[in-house]
Amino acid sequence: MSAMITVKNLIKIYKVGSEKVVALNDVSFSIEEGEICCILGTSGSGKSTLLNMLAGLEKPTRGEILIDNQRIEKMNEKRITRFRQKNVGFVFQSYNLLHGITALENVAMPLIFRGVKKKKRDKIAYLMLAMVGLSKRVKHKPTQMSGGQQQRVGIARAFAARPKIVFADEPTGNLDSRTTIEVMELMVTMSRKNKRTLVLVTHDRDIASYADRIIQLKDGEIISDIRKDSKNDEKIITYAVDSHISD
Amino acid sequence: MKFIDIIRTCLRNLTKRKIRTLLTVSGVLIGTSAVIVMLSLRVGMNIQITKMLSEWADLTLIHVYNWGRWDADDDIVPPDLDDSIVKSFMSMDNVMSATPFYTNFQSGFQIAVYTADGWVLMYTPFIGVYMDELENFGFRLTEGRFKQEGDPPTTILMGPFAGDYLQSYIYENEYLWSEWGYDEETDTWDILSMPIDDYFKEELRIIPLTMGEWWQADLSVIGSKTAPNLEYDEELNLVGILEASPTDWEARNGIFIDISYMAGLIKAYNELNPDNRYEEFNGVYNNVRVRVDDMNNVPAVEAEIKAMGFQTSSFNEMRENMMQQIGTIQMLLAAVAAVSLLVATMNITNTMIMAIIERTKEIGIMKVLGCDIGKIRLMFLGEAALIGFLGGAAGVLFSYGLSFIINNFFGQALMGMFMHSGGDEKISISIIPPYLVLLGLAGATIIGMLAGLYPAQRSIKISALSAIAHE
Repeated sequence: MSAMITVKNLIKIYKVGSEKVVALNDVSFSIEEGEICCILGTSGSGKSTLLNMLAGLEKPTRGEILIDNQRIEKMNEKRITRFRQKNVGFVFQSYNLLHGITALENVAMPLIFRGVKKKKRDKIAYLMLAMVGLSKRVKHKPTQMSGGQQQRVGIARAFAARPKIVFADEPTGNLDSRTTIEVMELMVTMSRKNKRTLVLVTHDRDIASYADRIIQLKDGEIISDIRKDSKNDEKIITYAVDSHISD
Repeated sequence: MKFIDIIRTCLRNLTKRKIRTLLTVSGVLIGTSAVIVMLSLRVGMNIQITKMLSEWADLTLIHVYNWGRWDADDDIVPPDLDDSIVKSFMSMDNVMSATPFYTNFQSGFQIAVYTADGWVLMYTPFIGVYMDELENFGFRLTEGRFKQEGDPPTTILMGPFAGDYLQSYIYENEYLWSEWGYDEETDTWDILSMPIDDYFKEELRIIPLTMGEWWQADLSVIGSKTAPNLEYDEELNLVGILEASPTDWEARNGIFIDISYMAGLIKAYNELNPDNRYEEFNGVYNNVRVRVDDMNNVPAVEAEIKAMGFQTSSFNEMRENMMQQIGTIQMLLAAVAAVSLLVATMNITNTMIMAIIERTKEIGIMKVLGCDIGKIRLMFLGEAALIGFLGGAAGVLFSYGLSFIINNFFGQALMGMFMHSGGDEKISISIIPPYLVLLGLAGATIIGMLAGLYPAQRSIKISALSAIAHE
């Protein structure tokens, strides 16, 4: 497998007044194509900053970000937007669906930007919604849906344009535990089925357990990078259960 | 992103906030219709003034005079208004014809007609012209033909009223009034129904009036059954009757005669009346008339003639003066209209800024999902343009309504401000030609786009990051 994402010596420093806050301090890692990777960390650990930079929404202070062998930190806004359009899907904590339009239109949105004709994109959007179990809700607007349903629309949207990478930022942050399980399983299944790279950002260890690999951040630095294989599979699960009990 | 999808998005966003769209569109409607109606008044009044003036006078006619040097400061001393100068007028661009128009020699000679009562005099004025130019000059015939090559110099044409007099003399005793085409009910004369068979067979003689007083000549001629036996008389060759021109009063009554033949008549008269002489021709005319092919070319031709040092007058000049007067008033009204359009433009800008503030999150999401920033700008520009277009379209329709009301209820009153007009007939002073409709639509759309420029620029500066920030 080749590296889909490579991060080298990434540094991000915010200036707050006259003080400098180091959000990321020399972070390096790479994520393989098709990998489901979780970036785990508490609030303030720098995980959201990292995600924003991977998605090209923020520029690093120093360091390199290679996605699909392209230096995205060097791209201008126009190019990075085009890059996201072609390569990246998003799942947000607060779903970020457009309220004025139907579920179908929301899912079709990334396809509109790609210039796909209405008939074709509606068909794709319908199939995506059917895949997430919402075939009967295509004409509903987000406001007429539960949080879980909205997030499933969000997932359908993220995968609709067949992006190489899907970024998910606290995707279950607003959901109850039962729905969380549904949504996580759906997301992981979709990634595996479509062989997409999934980068998950969360503070929740339970969520992290769905990933093949967990990169844990603390104060802007990587403190652990655990790849789940057959050997330590059980160990991680135990670890996750432990933390669940202790919560 | 396809263009059709951008239009769809614009429409969806506009219909989502109906009241605000409606109000903004209404602003454009008012501005557009104000401008269109102002312009339509200009078009309409121009047409009305032209129409009214052309009922009074010929707008394609230029009178050329030579009164010598107009004032001492004038550099240009005009050349004599002679045949060669008239020819040079004829060769100017857009000039159809030119001819001297000599009307001073009115009563020196008269035409005698032989009727059942013996000889009578017609008492009609002579007009000396280039007979060969009458057709080019725009005269039309009701009877007969124009002068042709080979016709003797005594060939004449009569104005319509002169023709009528002739008829009345000939038939006075043979027909009852009712048979002349007099309609008692309407109290009108139908000239054309009069019998005219014998027009050109009649013996017409031109005779001098001795002593320069026509009534004295009468004594020896009127009532005589035999041909006048005078020192000078000549038989005339009438070949045609001209059509009545509503704008040329002189020509209605007149008898057209070749100006060179007229020069001979004056000479003959002066020999008969040594104590009462007319000024003889020395090949120089006082008044030359120039016919221009189109009203709009009159100013250029007039300027060219003036540049030669001559004085000119034309009704077109009068028309332009009137239009200038009206123009001043319209400028004021147009300024009001322009202000209302300006307010409408600012209103669009305001609406669009509001829309962008409201949709900050939406714009952010679209950016994160990979919508090109150019397309986002286009979306907002399109929305503003669409508001402009809708307002323009509604404004055009509204203008037609306003125009209808103005024409039906205020046309008379408004037109009366500028010129006397009688009757209760509807006067269309507001006319909306198709190009004004196009101008309204295109103008409003462009104004909408201009109004959307700043908001659209603002929309692309919205940070994508703000959209995915946790709530």
